Amino acid sequence: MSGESQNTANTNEVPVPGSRPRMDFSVRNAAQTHAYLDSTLHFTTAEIVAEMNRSPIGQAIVDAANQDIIDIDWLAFHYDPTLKGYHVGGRGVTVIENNVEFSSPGVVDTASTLREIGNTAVHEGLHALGIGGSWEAELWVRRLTFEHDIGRVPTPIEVTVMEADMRAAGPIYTSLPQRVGRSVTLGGRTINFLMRAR
Amino acid sequence: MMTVNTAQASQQALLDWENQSALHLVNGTIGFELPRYHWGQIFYTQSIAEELSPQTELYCRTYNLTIHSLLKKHGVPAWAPVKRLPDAMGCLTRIAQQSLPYPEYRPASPQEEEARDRILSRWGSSRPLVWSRLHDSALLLFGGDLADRSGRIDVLDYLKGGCWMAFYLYPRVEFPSFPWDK
Repeated sequence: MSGESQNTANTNEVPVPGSRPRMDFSVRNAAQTHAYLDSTLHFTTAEIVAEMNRSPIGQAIVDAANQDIIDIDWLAFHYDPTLKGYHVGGRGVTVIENNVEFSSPGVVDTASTLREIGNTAVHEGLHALGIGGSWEAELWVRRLTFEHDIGRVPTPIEVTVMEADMRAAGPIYTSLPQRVGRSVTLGGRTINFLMRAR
Repeated sequence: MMTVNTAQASQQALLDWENQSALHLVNGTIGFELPRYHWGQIFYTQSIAEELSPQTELYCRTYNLTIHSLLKKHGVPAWAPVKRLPDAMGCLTRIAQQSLPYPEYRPASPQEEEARDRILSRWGSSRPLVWSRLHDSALLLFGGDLADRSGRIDVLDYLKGGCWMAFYLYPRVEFPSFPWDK
């Protein structure tokens, strides 16, 4: 992980014995690499986790991280400005600066940025849980991230748009098998990727 | 798991350059619900995998380094998205110069139609009012008002079939009139 560590929002937090220590991670904008940003991006882990916890899906991701089932990590910035996040096995990583939202050119929208950081963390967390490897699974991640962000299940038309976006993204999704036989439990909900009956 | 061959990555980059379809490759999550062109880039960004691995990371770097060497040798080619995409004011100017009513638009290919449908899904309950085909840059412009009366222009790139390239938003407080108002 990179960036400064600064506990500002949760001074009473004590690591639970036996668990990985939670990192209070405050991100300072690297003004020297992104000169158009004249404000300082500053979020603590507690703020991001609070944002994620606004939905049952986000809560399930946070719980999975607290139970050491997955890891949720943050990067202050990435050498590639287009990368919002990634996952490696059971670890989901969100690139803070690449999730910045602007209210107008050069003016960071703090609330929207925090929301987008939370969305990406949920997205990568779902992958870290093992939801992936097939078209159906990727669509599930998008549907669940939507449900976390918007607060409702996507409509069939919205799911159609998601699938069109996935086709437009190229072989990253179109080369995946349609389905694999797997299931994941997420906050009491079981997500099944069943083999099509022959 | 993806089998990586750095020679293959270089060869693919050279082939894509020859085919005028060079990309900027990444390994991870990008905004897939957004247009293909990412500001500050020369070519379209494409992710090859959402799960990071040393192999896919190496493939991306090798591909991008090959493209970078071609850029140093030849400069930014005229077919690069960054060279063809008009800026916000340029799009308004082009539509003001020549545009047709949107109902008269007919997609020229299935790819163009699919890209058009992705664009329309972002317009919500609104629809474009005008469209314009820029033959010199192989672009389509769709312009109109959103529900809040702000203006919107979407850019569709049909150089290689059809893809949603970019979009611009124009707040009414800054733009009291648009070419399609008349």
